[in-house]
Amino acid sequence: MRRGAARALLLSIAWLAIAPTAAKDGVDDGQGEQWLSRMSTALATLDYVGTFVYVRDGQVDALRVWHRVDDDGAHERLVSLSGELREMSRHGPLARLSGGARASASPRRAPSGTVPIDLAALQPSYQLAVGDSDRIAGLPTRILEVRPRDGFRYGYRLWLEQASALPLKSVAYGSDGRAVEQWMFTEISIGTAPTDAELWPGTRPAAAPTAPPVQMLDPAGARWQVRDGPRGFRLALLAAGGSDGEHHVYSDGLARVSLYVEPLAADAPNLSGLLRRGALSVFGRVVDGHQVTVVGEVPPATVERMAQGVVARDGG
Amino acid sequence: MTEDIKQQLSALLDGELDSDTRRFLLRRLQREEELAGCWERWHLARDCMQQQRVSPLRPDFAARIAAALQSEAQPAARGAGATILRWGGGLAVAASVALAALLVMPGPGSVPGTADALPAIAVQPADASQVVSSGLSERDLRPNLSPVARTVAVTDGQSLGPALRLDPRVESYLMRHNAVMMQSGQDSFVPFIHVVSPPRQWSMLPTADHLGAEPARAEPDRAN
Repeated sequence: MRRGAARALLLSIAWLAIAPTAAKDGVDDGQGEQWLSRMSTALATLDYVGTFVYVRDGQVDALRVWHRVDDDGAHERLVSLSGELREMSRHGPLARLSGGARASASPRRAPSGTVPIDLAALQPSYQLAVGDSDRIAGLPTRILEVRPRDGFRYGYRLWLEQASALPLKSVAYGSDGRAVEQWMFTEISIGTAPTDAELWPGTRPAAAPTAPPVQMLDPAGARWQVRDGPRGFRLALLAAGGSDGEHHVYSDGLARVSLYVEPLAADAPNLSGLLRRGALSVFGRVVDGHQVTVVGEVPPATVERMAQGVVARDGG
Repeated sequence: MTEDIKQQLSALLDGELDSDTRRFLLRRLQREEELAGCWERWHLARDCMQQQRVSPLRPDFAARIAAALQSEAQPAARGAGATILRWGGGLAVAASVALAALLVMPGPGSVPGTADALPAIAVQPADASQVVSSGLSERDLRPNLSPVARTVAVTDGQSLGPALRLDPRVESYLMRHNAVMMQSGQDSFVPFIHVVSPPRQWSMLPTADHLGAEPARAEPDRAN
């Protein structure tokens, strides 16, 4: 009897020792989803001003960001503090790179509180786990692991501020576990709304491309499709491309990949082959007199497979 | 364009417009090309006159942060076999360019090192371990590659692969990619980071012979 009691006591102690670890590293306890959902809300609703470092491919840069959300939508100013002076400012639907390019001019915008990450859609492709606590930029954080279920997408380790769930550090890594890109705030003020003067660009212009306003289309009307594309990616958006082309956006719930199919330009060389920079991959090829270009923060194999699978829809 | 609108535009330029008027004017800027064009010209003029600068950090700031990050442990390897991508030598890009580059394949008859060759700079071999298997081989890819546009210079007698050429179209693609994300409410953290913080030297991965050596763990399916 005493022996049984001792065994029960030992089991209880063992369970108490294991339980916190199991909860901390839990995958299916819903904590990961809660943290990810909170992070999405934080990104869409919080004001913040801070400086962060951006590391990829042996290059380290510092940037400063001012972010405010008000009735006009999200306002953001992003300035490079090292290397070439470049600046991007967004005011609601308008985005402007230093030099005058307007990326978009659409009246639609994300309403406050929008959750940009599709939690249901990402489940087949990612596994979530809440990890240890840490400290970033002097603030307590919790680590959220977003693990890919295959090699067609990157994994992410996110350091989320305890109170707000705003990400203060992010490491994107490939299927071999090596980091391909990371950024980390060195100082940040959360809840501080930047003034208009701080949000307005103040740099000299630099050469920059001009992006036309985006015209959204019905995905059912797509004239091109991707056959045998990377697992988990679905056509999420269709927009008009340049020169009667198409712009497809594929998503696995977290990563988003843009596919451009545009008639070949007579006065420009074709874009062919693979490019990778940090987490960004680009693949170009020519299909039936069209330039096909795939762009996204995914492994090179993903953009490559997507580009190689592009066919005209009516061509079967 | 009325004087009133011009005054409002000027106030907007200086960040002195009240919230309601600013919202109204931003909407007009989206719709009216003439107004948007005027805005761009005024902004250009103001920027050139003021030549504003951002307060610099300490000179060793980036180096100290890099050292701190290097000392941190990376996520553990997940065991997926890395495809070995044999790529000897490398290429580099002309200086002072914007953001992105794509490969342009040398064409038949092109001679490396000729007058129209691009300037060659330091070589950075591709990191093969970051390439994920895709089931495609060089033979699959090569027939689809576009014809030659320009030649490249030879460096140190090394065998050269595809030439690099920076192309602003890629930057434009990135801008449009982010524009659609913004428009659809699928925003992310600093979505324009790749545009604002361009690489000083692109690291390139050529389409190589061994991409298909080890297939990705999951089978592909239809993407749409």
